[in-house]
Amino acid sequence: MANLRDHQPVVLDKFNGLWARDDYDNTPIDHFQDCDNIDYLGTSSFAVRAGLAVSQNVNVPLANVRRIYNYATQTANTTIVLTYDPLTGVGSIHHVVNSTTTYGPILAVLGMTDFAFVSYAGRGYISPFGTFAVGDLFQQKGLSGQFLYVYAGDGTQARKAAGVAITGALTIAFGAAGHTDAGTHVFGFVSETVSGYLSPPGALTSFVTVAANSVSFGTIPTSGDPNVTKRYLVATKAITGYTGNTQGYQFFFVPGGTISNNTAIFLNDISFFDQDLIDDASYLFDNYAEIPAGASLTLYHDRLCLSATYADISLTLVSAAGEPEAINQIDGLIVTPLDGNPVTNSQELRDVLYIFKRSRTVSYTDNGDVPSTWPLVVIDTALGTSVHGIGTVLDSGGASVDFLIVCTYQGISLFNGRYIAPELSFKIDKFWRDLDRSLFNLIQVINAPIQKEIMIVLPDRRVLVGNYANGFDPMKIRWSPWTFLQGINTICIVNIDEIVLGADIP
Amino acid sequence: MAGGTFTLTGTLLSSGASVATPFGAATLKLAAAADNDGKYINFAGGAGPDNYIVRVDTSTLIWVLVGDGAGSYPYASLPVGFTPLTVQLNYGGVVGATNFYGGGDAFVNANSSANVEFDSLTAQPLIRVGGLVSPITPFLWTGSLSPLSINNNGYGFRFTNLNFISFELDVLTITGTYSIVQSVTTFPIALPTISAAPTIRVGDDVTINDPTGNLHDVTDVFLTFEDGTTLDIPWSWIWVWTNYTITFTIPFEVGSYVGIIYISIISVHFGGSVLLGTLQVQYENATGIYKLDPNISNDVRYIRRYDNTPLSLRFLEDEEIQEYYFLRAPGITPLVIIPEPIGYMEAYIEDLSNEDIVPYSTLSVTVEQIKIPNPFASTAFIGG
Repeated sequence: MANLRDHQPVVLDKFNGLWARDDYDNTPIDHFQDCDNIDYLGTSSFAVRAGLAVSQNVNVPLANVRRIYNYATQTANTTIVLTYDPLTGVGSIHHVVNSTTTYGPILAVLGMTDFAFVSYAGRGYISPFGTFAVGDLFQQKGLSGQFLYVYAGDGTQARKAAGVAITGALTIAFGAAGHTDAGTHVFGFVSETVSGYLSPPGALTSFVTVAANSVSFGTIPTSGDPNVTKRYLVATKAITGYTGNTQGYQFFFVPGGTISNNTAIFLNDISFFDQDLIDDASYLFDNYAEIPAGASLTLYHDRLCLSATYADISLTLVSAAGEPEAINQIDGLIVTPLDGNPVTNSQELRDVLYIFKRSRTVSYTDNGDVPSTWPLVVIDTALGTSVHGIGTVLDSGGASVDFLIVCTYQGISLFNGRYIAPELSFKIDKFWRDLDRSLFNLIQVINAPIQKEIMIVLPDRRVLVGNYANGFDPMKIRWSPWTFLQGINTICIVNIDEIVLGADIP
Repeated sequence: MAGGTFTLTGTLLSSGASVATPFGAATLKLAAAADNDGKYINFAGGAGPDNYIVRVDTSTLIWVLVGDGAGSYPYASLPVGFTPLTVQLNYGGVVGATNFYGGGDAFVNANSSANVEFDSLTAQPLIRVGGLVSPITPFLWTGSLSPLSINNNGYGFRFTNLNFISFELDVLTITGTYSIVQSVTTFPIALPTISAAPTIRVGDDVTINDPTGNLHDVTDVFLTFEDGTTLDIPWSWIWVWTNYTITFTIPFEVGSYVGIIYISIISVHFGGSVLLGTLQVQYENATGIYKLDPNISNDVRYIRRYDNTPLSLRFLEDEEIQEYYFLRAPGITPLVIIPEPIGYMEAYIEDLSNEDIVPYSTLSVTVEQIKIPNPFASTAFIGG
């Protein structure tokens, strides 16, 4: 390289991304004071970002896309997509199976501008929520009069999760020769939906059994819910001093008392001893028959956790383990300390459930007892996140290499049980602080480990990309905003490394 | 410093009995010059007291300039730097009237007075008691002057009479001299121009040209929509900026807007915002689901268009065949049947009801390749 007289050439051979800390003059020489639409290659190069292609190969692709989640069914990685019609105010959810197959809308709700989603055992759980103005602030919480929905993943309509008890009365008689513990028992039936939800015991009827006979049941009510696939016989142990009130006793599933359909009205010759009644069914009485919608869904210890309902913004509903629709109204509740702000997010990390508000983080740990007894630990009283502000990997919100990527008001932070300082966004501190706080609910973050990139949809519809190929270190991560003519507003990652983005009308 | 003469024209307001009658059918007016049109103001006499006032209707004044900046201007549009130097009220009698001022035989008795005035505080006797004023002299205002004071002072004529015979006046004019104080500028005032396609969409480029090379003074480029809302063009969407040219891309925030947008700049050069022109925005709806594709070096977007297709419907009852049209509206999955071709669509779509909507599986959605918007990187400051 030729030198100008008295001037030494400056070699630029490393490009470590955007530096935006409000001191342009002090931008390190290996950084950019401004950039757009560039991606980083290898350890020190950059190029124009990847192009954007259409994701659907159909005649009528979805339009006005508000939110996309990846949806892992039993057989495929798919996406679940919310579209919103600004003319009617109706949000519609579609299941995009692949580029040529789209189901839906599987659910349409007036006022659904956003929704929370988790998949569990191949089913999708959907909670419609919206944004509500409270003074000068905007809060995200479940829609009034709306509920948690469950989607089977097969293109059928999503339906309300949970359900009501069977109603009616049983005709009970002695069956063939058999055995029971003689005495008054109260019998009833529990229905089970296709998604495994067990209803509260219903059709409760008392009957005095005798030791030498089995018991037969007739006129067994069927459920009006077409999703019911099984019914289970439940019974109390022999009651001494029965008053005629069928309620208030402990019920158990009766071994062998299963009807594998929702049509049969007879179940004959059931024999059991009271000591056979082990599997408790009493907790089903206290479950929500319909679960109010919330702004956040997550899974913790095989339990579904739903937060920020319309009526109670600090409430988290926690289901029974393995039964995401069975949420006890008495002891399945967690109340995050009230501070006027709603719960915005929740996430499991290292066996601990972390619950976030916009500027607060607390944790609960499953102690083996009911959720209302789980101990609270306050993690941070200044930092929290927004409804889509936690980095997710594939199908679970989540934990990748034992940390979370959390978007807080102060920046993009690594979280391993505490917020690690300096934050990942140290290099772009000014850039981040210039974002509109009132629109942080529009931020959605993903972590693409194959590409080694964090991608964050920003309130201004750009995408902020952080390449961590040189290390997950605030000083080594390389940032660049990406701008799209389509006005991107949502992002997810499917099939390991396919980045899917959505756009609606600004 | 330059200047010329000015004359005010406009209508007159009057109070008092019988003022307008002899002045003719024409509106009382402030004449630009003696017109000898046979119309005059009559201050009628007779037994008993009479009080007359004639004043300029300041809301109708037009300034007729002769000299620099020649032309006719309402007050609010007078040339920048216009400064009145003198102003005077001129008047004259009617030739042939029995008792007129200026004609030689007008009569005023001891109980009468006539004044010409700028306002009630500046009256100057027009006629001396018991005699005549000859020759007629204009009323030259000697106080401080400004366009505003001249416009609003309400020049006029005031006459009181007791047992006096009639008095007539033919001409009332206001004239004066002025100068225009010009500031010295180092550049000519010339608005930049815009160039773009006649109809534009999100992603299209618009160029602002300024042959005088002053675009470095621009501090903001913004769009104004028909409802009055504005949209600043983010700096990242301005990808050419020289003294002579600014080129920016219509950003996605324009969204599905259809209609006129006004393109303006804010520049210290012009001391405020300046409207440069208007453009027609075409419907754009690029919303949908996309994916990053590392194997392509451009972006792709959906194009949705209004479209209609003739459809013949056969009515079984009367075998009548009538032509209808399919309406395919972007963002609306169902197809709508309308009885009019596309030009009537906007009026019709407001009246749509559920009965008008029938399922249809193919919409006019295509894709197009577009550039990745303005990739760039600005290095740190190098060297000292």
